[in-house]
Amino acid sequence: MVTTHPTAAHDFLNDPKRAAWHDQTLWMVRAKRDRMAATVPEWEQLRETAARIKDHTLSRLSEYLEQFSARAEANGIQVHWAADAEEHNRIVHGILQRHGVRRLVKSKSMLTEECHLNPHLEAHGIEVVDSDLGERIVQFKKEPPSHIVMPAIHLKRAEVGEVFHEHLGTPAGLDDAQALTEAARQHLRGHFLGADAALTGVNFAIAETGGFVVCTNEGNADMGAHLAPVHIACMGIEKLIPKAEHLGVFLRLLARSATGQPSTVFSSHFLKPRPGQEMHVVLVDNGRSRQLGRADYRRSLACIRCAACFNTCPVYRRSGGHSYSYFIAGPIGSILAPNVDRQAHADMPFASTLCGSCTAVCPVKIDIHAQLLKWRQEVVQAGGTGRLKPLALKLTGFVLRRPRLYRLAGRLMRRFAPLAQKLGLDPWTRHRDLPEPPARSFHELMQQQRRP
Amino acid sequence: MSRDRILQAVRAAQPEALPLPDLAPLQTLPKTPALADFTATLDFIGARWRRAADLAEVAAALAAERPDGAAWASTVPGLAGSVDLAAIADPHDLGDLHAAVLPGRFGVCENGAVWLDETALGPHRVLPFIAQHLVLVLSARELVADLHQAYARLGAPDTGFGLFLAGPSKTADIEQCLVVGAHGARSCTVWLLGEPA
Repeated sequence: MVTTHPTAAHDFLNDPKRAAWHDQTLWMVRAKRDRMAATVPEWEQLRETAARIKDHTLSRLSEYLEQFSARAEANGIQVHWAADAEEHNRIVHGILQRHGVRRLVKSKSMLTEECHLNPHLEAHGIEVVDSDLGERIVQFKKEPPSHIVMPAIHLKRAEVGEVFHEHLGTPAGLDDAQALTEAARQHLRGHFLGADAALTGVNFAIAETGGFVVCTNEGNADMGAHLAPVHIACMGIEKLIPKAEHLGVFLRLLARSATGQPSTVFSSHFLKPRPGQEMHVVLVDNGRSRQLGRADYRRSLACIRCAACFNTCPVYRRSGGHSYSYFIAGPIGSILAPNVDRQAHADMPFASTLCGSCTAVCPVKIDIHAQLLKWRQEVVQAGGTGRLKPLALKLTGFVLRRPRLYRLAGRLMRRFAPLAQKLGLDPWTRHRDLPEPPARSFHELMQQQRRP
Repeated sequence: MSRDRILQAVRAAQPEALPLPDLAPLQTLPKTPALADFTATLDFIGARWRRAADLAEVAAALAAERPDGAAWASTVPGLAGSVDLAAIADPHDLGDLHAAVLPGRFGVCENGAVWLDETALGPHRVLPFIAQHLVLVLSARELVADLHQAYARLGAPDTGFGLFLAGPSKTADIEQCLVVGAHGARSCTVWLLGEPA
């Protein structure tokens, strides 16, 4: 039996103040995104264009992959192909081993999280330092990120202060964000200057040029990549776009959708290694070609990892990233996870109200809520929802087909539903109250109206 | 080989080719770059900006404001820094750099970004990231309205590395409190030279 989302969210909801803070903070990010989008009159045209560029690219992905790898190699980048997570980890470790790397500095890469690269390398005696501030915090805490753009959004300042007190020797009780960030800056500068190799993610890879773009606000990807003698960039095969001019479309959408900024501070375009440096790109499939073949879910591969769908999702905001069984939480995670393992993540598509807000904000117009519904149907058909839910639906169907029984059931519900709530029999009412049941049903009111 | 296996799997899975949309409608929107828009965006993203008639004025201001003994590097022609970048073999030796002064190619009004590539960075790509403070020098005439115009101007980037840099490094990873000065520069000042077009 897998842990369901409501069960996992229990701890988070035990602290109502924190849950309310989480909800409001992410809503604030969503509001910033709205204000930014409103400054661009052609916003909808941009989204539509981005969606169609991605659809086109996915429809000719094999050609673009070949073009990209040929150009990248011509530029002096070493290109590697990994069919799955295990091969990805083996390739990265192999490169590090060849260079005798003991200390690796990493910037944000959801792919390496997906492949569980850190534990693999650590088992081989390599020190791995996540250099994005939020990622460093959760790495110290030995926790997964709870949000793909803001990895430590589930933590309060004082908790970060405790973590830094323990690991960085900052004064106990320090909870000033400026001072804590300064401590991390000094600590990580040492790691940037001391690393034997740097690993980064990839936001966009350009088939036409063989180059790739990495976006950060902190500058950590560049600090690592331009100092270390070896730079490894890991990317899923869906990160490709055809041409450099398409960056104009995606970079206009990415930061505005993610954090409500007009641009990330650094949008770095890597094309060739610097003299004396080795640059590697690892192209990873790990289930993406399978998802590409599923017409209903194909468009989930268009995702540019902005997390706008997280910030707007009423369920994510009120339950936190650690309530989801997959490391990519939120609405997009809930349609990506079942592709990886439908059974293990059977509950994720149900962690949604299907309100469609995710679809409305998605910069590449993924039909997220429609895909959630399709996954639900698959999970139910495969018996993944247990016996109670299908039984309840069958019973409901039985009652709805019989008007007399239905009216009787209605009368009973009006009488006893409040009692069921009082006795805590109905999980739906654990965090919310039922409205006062009306004295008479709609049917009875209608009959009364008809009487002369 | 995984390469062939992946390509084969992708080929088998990808749907019928869909058309690539035309960017012309976005690229030809009637937008004119304006200095006031650019500086307003710089204010918004936490970058400082100043105007100067010419490079001599910038040089004088930098000389007056620089702390005594601070190491600074410049790749702006006609503006020498205290550090000879060509004499530095290992970029790690730039760890104590107080400031870097770099020539921006052009600025983007909609997001405050300035394009820098290896022709501007000199021998060390890490320069704009490792310096504690960043000074960008840009002609006030060299502006584009948005990123479509920016990429039209760039074509496909052809130096080994280039970037759009928009303001000082920052983070909000602790409780969404904005802190300027994450891993890169703690401040970013854009000098705009001469009169706008």
